[in-house]
Amino acid sequence: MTQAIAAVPIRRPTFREGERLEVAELQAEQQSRDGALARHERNVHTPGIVTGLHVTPVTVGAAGVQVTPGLAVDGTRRYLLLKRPLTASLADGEDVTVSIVWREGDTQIELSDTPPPAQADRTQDAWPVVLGRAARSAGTVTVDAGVREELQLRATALSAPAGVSRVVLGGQSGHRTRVLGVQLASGGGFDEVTTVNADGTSRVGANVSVEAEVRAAGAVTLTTPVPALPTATPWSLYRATLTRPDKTVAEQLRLEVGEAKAGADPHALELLVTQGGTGTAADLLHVDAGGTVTIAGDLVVEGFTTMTGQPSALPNAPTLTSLAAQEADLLAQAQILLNQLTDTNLLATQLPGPPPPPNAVSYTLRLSSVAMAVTAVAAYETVIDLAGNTPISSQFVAQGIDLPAGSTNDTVRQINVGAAGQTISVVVLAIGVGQDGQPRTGTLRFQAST
Amino acid sequence: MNGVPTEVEYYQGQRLTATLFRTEQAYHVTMRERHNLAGHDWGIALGLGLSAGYVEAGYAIDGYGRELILATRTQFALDLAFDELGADSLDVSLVYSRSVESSGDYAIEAPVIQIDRAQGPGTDRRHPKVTPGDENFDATGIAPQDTLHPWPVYLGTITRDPAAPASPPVASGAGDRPYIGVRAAQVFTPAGDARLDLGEDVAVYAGTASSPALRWSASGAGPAQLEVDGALTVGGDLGIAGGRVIMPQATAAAGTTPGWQLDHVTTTGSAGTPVEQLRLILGDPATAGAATEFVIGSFANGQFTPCLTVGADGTITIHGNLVVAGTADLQGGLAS
Repeated sequence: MTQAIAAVPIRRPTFREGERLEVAELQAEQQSRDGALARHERNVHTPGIVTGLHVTPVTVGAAGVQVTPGLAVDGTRRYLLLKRPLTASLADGEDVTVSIVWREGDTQIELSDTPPPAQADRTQDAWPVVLGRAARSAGTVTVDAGVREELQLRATALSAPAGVSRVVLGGQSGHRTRVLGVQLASGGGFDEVTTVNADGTSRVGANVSVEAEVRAAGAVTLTTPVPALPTATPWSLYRATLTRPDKTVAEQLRLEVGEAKAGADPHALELLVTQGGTGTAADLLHVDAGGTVTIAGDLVVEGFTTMTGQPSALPNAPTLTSLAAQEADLLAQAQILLNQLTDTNLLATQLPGPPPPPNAVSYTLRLSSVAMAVTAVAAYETVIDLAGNTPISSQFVAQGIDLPAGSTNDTVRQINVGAAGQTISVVVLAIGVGQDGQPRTGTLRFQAST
Repeated sequence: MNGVPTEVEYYQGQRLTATLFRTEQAYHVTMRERHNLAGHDWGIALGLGLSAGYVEAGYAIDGYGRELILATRTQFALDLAFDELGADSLDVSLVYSRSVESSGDYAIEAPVIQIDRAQGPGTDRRHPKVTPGDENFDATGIAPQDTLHPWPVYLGTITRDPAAPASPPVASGAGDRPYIGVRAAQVFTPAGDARLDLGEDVAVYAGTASSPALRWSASGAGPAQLEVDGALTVGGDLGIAGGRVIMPQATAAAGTTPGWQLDHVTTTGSAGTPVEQLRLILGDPATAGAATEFVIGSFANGQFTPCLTVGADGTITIHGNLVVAGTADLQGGLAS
C-alpha cells in the first residue's frame, strides 16, 4: 500500500488545558463548523427551496403576486428565511422573475425583468434562488411555477431505514445503462422489480395491475409464452404453449373470454370485434363462449371450406365436395361453350331412335354441315356406365361421310347396355375436313337409361 | 465505538476548560458524522474522477461518516506504486487521515490517496476491508478520529500493460465506485406535489393523495406486484415476458369510443339480457382517413401474411381454408 496526501485539509483547534485561548482558535472553530455545513449543503444537497415560498396570483386590491413564508438555501449555503407572506403588485404588461436573495445583510424578495444567470454563473455577492415567474396581461396575473428551483439531493440509492426496499439511480456494476431501479428485499438480497434504462427502455419484473387504461404507442409484444394452464384466466390476452393430443407442440396467441361456468349463459360471454368512432357502426365479429361465431357482414373464404359438424342449412354451402362438383360443372359448361364456338360447320345432334329392347338404348346420330361442305367425316362413340363409371363400348359409328354444305346424314344407333334400369353417358366426337382444308369437329353428349 | 454524544451544559460562572471546548467540538463533529450515515449513506458525493496518476478534486463520505475532501486535482506516484507493489493492476482509494500541526494547536483532517494491489473485477466495493467489528458501523456509533480505522472509498483501478511499456496505464472500475445515498422512509418535494415512500412496499404518491399512483409490493414466492392507479401510457413497445394481459373488471360500455382498443365491458344483448364482452375496437375509418382492419397473421419469408382480416365494413376474409366445426348459417347466402 502506498499513499499520497491531499492538500487543503479540514483544520480545527485542538484545545489543550493551560493553552491561552485566543480569538484565532474560536474563529477557527467557528469556521470549521460553518465549512462543514457549507460542504454538506453544497455537495450532498444542491441550493434551492427547502419549504414554502410559493408564488400565487393576488386578485384582491392591486393585481400582483404573493410569496408565502418559507425557507431556501442559496449557493453560498446561506439560509434565506421569509417569515411572513409578502405581496407585490404588477403593472399590466409586466413579466418578471420572482427570486429570494441575500442582499445588504438581509433576505429580500426580488421581482426582476431578467431572470438570474445560470447557477454556475451566480456569485457570492448575489445568489438568488428562483421562486417562479409572474406576468400580468389584461389585468390577469399568471404564475409559472415550473421554473422554481427546489432543493435537490445527490444520491445513487434511496434506502428504507429498515433496509427492506430501495430506489437506485444511475448505472452501477452490472447495470451500466440503468437510470432508475426499484428494488425489494428478497432472500437476503434485493430483487429489482423495475428498471428504467438510458435508452428509454424499461423492464417491470412484476405482475402489473392497472386501475385504468393502458396505452401503448408501440406494439404490444408477448415475448415469452406461458404454459396453457388448465384453469381459467378470464378476459385475458396471452401467448401460450401447449402439447396437443397428437403430441405436437403449439404456440397460440389467445384471447380468452369469461369462463363458461355451469348455469351461466355461454352466449353472454363473448369476444366482439367492432369499429371505433361514433359507436353507431355495426358489430363486425362476435365469438361467444359457446363457440358460436357471428359475422355481421360478408365472409370471403379464399381457400376451401370444410364442414365437420352438422350438414349445412343450405345445400349449396361450399363444402369440399360441392366445390369439386361446381368445378366439374364449370369445366363442362366451358366445354359446351367451346363446342358452340367451334361446331359452326359440323354439328352432331341427337334425334329419337326406334323403340329399344329393355336392356338397350337407341338414338339417331345426325351429322350436319352448316355453311360449308365437310368431307371424310368420321364419328367415334364412347358409352360409359355412370353407376360404375365403367366403359361399355368405344367405336367408330360412322366413317367416310361427305356432307355438302347445308346437308345432313343420319345414323341409327342401338346400344346394348346389358341390363335394364341402368344410366349411361354417351359421348360422340365427329371430325371431318372443311372446304378450307381446316379440320372441323362436332360433339354430342347426353345421358340415357335403359 | 457505540455511544451517546456528550453535549456541554453551560451555566453562569462556569470555568471554561479545554475539556469543555473539546467536548463541544466533538459533539458537533459527531452529530454531523451521524447525520452523514443516518440521513445519507457513505460514498463519493462529487468529483474524484480517476486517471493515470491523478485524482480530480471532489468530496466523499467514508463508512464512519467522516468527510474526505480533495480540494484540488492531486497527483500520486503511479510508476513507483507499480514497482513497489509488484503488480500491473492497482486499486486507488481515498482514505481518512488526521494529524496535529507541529504547534499542537490545530488538528488537520486531509484524506490520503491509497494504492493497493487490485482485488480484481467483481469485488464488492461497498464492503471494503475495515477494522474487524466495524463492518456494519452505522449512525449509532461514534466515528474514530484517527488513522487506525481506515475506510477506503474506492475510486477505480489503474492497469498497465507490461508487454507495452510505452502505452499509458488505463483507468477502469467507474461502475463499481460507491456513491453516497439517502436513507429515508419518505422523500417528498419541497412543493409537496409528490412523495416517495420506502418500506416493505415502494410507493409514489401525487400531492396529498392517500392512495399511491404507483406501488411496488413483494408477493411472497410469487412475482412482485406493481399497481398503477391511473392510466398507463407506454411510449415504446410493451413487451410481456411470461405473463398475461388480464382485464378482470368489466366497465359499462361507452357510447362512443376512439378505437384501437381492447376493452372488457358489460352491455345489453339484443334479447335484453346482460352480456360481457371482450371488445376489440378498430379505428374509425372516417377518422383514420384509411381503411381500418383487424388482421390475424404471421410473418413468413420476411413478410406479414394475413390469415384472417376483419374490415371495418364488416367483411371478414379468411385467407386460407375455413373449417366449421359446427353448422354454418349463411344468412346472406353465397356469392356466385
